[in-house]
Amino acid sequence: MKKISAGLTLIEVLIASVLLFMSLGLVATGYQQYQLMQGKAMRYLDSAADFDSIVSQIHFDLRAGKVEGKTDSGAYVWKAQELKRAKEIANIDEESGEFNGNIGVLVLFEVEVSYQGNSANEDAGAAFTYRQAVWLKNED
Amino acid sequence: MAKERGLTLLEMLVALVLLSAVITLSGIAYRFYVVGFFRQQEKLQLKVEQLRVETAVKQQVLSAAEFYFTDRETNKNRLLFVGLQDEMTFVSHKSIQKPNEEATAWLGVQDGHLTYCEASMSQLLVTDAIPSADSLCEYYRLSLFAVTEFSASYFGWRSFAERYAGISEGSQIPSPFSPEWFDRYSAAELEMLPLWIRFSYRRDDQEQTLWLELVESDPDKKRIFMTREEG
Repeated sequence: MKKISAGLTLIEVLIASVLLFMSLGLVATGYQQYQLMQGKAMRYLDSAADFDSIVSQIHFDLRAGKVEGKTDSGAYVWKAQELKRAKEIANIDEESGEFNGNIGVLVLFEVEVSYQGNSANEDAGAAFTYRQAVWLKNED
Repeated sequence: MAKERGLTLLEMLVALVLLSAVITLSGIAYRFYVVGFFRQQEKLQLKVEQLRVETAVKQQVLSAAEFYFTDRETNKNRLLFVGLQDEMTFVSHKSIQKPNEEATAWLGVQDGHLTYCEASMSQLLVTDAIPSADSLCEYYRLSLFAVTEFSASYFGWRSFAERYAGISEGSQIPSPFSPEWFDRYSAAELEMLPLWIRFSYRRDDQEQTLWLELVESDPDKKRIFMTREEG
């Protein structure tokens, strides 16, 4: 009997190629995701490194009466919203029993900080919100 | 009968060309993906380590204590904090080397690098003079990162009297004075620690600013007296 030697059929080659490209696609997607995560982790680390400095600068500006602004580097913008305000009590009037105090007020702010970044494709992953109480001079 | 034959020279050459092209492309892809992957990983680890060291030094500055000693030259009790435009000397209430002890610390630029030096109180007890940067760096030295154009400024009150002006037992009105920025802040003259410190420098060819709020950031802020009574 004559032996017929044949290569792969078209369908076999197609299936093999599809499987190969699928696995290549999966590896590439995984790698791309990992790179994106690394970029995000880097930005979070940058924010963590800047955090103390950002909060200190915002506290300084809040004490100066500002309610929004930008950090020195321009990488972060912030906006503060007043939540509560209370006068400092210096003493209590003996006759009327009322609280006296005109030295200052304690104001509680909610501060929203967002990352502007330096390039257009960076996401806002490093944004954060916190609360800060600030002593202000009484302007009354 | 089937005729058995090997590959022709042309087929062999085509196969070799294809094989070497595949190997070359694989090599490039390997370098691009795998080597890049490990390089990124290393960069990330380096950044984490850098952040750990920088945070430790920031904490040292933030925990600056109100440390008093008797100055040998003037024979007066004075607060140890000297902030100059390019360096500062202060006492931190927690030494990096020995967390149970206070440390006299120095921060400034040495060999083009932002450098932190300290000597814990058991290594070098400050009693009557402020130690120099060189003497502190003999005990502990931490090089942080390469910087150029480093400068520091200090925000605080001009004096204790201005800070508390208006406050007495009977009445409390806001001080008519306001704190201000100084290029040079000597606690010996101004009698108190600054409220904020701002460092400006160039790092990796980028202008950077670091703000540190001294007084309100450390709940354990201590007052330490290493003074002697005359008599």
